[in-house]
Amino acid sequence: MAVEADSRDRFGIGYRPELLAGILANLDRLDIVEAVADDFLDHGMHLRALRTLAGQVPLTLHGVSLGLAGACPVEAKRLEAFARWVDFVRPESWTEHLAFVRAGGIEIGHLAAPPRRPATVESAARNVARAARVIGAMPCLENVATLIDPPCSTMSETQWVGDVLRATGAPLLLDLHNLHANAHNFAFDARTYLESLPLHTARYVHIAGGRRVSLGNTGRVRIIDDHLHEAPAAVFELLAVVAERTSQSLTVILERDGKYPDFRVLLDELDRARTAVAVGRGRRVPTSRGVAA
Amino acid sequence: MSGLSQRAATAVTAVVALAGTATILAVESLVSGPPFLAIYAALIAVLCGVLRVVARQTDPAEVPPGQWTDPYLLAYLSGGPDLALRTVALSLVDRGLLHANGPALSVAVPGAAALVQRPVEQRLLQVVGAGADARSILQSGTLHDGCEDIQRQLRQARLIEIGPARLGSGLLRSGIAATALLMVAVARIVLAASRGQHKIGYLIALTLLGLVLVFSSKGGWSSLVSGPSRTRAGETLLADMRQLFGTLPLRAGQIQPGGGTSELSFLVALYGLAAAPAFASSTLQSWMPPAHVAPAGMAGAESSSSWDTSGSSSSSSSSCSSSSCSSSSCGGGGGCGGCGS
Repeated sequence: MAVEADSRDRFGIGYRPELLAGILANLDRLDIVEAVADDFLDHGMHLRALRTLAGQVPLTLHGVSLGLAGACPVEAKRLEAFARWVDFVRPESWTEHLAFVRAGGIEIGHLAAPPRRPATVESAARNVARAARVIGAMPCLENVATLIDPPCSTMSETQWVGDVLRATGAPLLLDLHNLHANAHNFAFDARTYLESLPLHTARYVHIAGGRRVSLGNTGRVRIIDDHLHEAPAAVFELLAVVAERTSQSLTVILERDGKYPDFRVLLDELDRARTAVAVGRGRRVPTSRGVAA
Repeated sequence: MSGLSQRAATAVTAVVALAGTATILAVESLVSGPPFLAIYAALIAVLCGVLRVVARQTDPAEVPPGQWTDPYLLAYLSGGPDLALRTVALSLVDRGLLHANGPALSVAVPGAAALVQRPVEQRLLQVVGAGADARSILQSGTLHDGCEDIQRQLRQARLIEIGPARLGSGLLRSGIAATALLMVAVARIVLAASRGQHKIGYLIALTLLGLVLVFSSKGGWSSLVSGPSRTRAGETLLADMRQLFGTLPLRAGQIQPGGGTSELSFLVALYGLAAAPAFASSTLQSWMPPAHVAPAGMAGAESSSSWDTSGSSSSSSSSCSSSSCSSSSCGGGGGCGGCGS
């Protein structure tokens, strides 16, 4: 018997203007669209357009600039502006990265992993709680990719992410390519990482592709999470593991930020994601109380 | 003021008309000649302004719930049945179901009508049959009737309005304004007659002009004779879709013939025939009626359309400012499907 993804599992794609024709022509194959909030915020008309899009297809708003994992409190005006956008667009949810994007008044233009210490768990938890209060909904928090092991860290990434999720009660947006890239770049096992994460909090999953770059003459190769390539097989394998180890419905979103292929290629990637989730669901062992991994 | 109900709009018109009439009647015995005509002209201007503003405010601005993602529907909204049919034909050519050799169209695949889902596509393929001249069939009433389903969807969602549907409250408001003008004029004529004055020609001319203006304002009799027009919600939807597609007109050159995406359809639907990439524009050009062959670089199908964009709001023009719908690319022929209104 062929295994199928749980009917509650959803599959979608990140909105980009270049992908919109494909998105609108294939709404029967897409359950949700994710829009990067900051792409729309410089102009009122952009925001209204986003609301119109939210009227066509379930929409989740993805933040990239709040810097919830920063040591400093997120400025009130940023949160209030984000709250207005959420209120206006009415997405089904909003998400943000567990990263800092500014410090000491300087914008670093990058989603940087913070030092993994109890102190940053506390500051992130304070920021998330404040954001949830102002915006009126708890964000889903995303693990980030990093090319450097954050200095001054005293905790592992899984421990830090897990502690933040427990301290905030926020759901997890699990970016599997970020995990795949970090696992490769810092030589740890991604499956072991997944075992350590509170996967029962995962609601959204990002899949994407990146590229491998050589580090000068060192012979070392790093994976860059550039969202410009097809998701590698390892990401789909991890997706199957996540589906196997979770019982709640998952929303899987494909991220693609450039070098756009024919939309059918992206739909094929989503079909591979469906298959991976179905395979993972199929691996779950039936028990008297339901299904267990 | 936004989202005004028809009743409130009528009340506003009545209050302004009454106030204006009362004011003029109060001063009527004090002023005469050109000063009175100036005051009367001001009343006409105020009433026309009020009619225009309330008509706009009773027009819903919110895009109604539902999926408005069909390029043919957007093409109809943007440029009426002419643009919708050309978008359909272009899409069928791009998908290899229709063969275009200059203005000559023929079905490329036997039984193509059974392969398509949308009624308007089936209708076009049936009409083309073994061969037809695009210039005549795209203008034909038969095919325009094939767009009825699209028109009905747009009308039900109040994205467009068609003549009689706009009457009713609009006509009542025009009637109130006209009554006010007539009351003032009659009172003035009676007063003039009682004073033995008979130079009332300018007043009568001004009254007739005022009546024409109040009844030809949006929502008045003009609605009966003008074609379909977009509502504010229709303008909003078009502007938002253009916004969401971002730089699509600038990427037109990257669209490949037979690329299997609907980008070409959305491009033509939202930005007009002038935005079509080179491989499609020559085909589109050959489909234009001889009398309407547009200047090089554009194909203004809408120029022959009865599509009324008089209801256009500023939102559409602003959406065009950064797109290919600038006057330079349009060539002034209306090829931007409503952008330039």
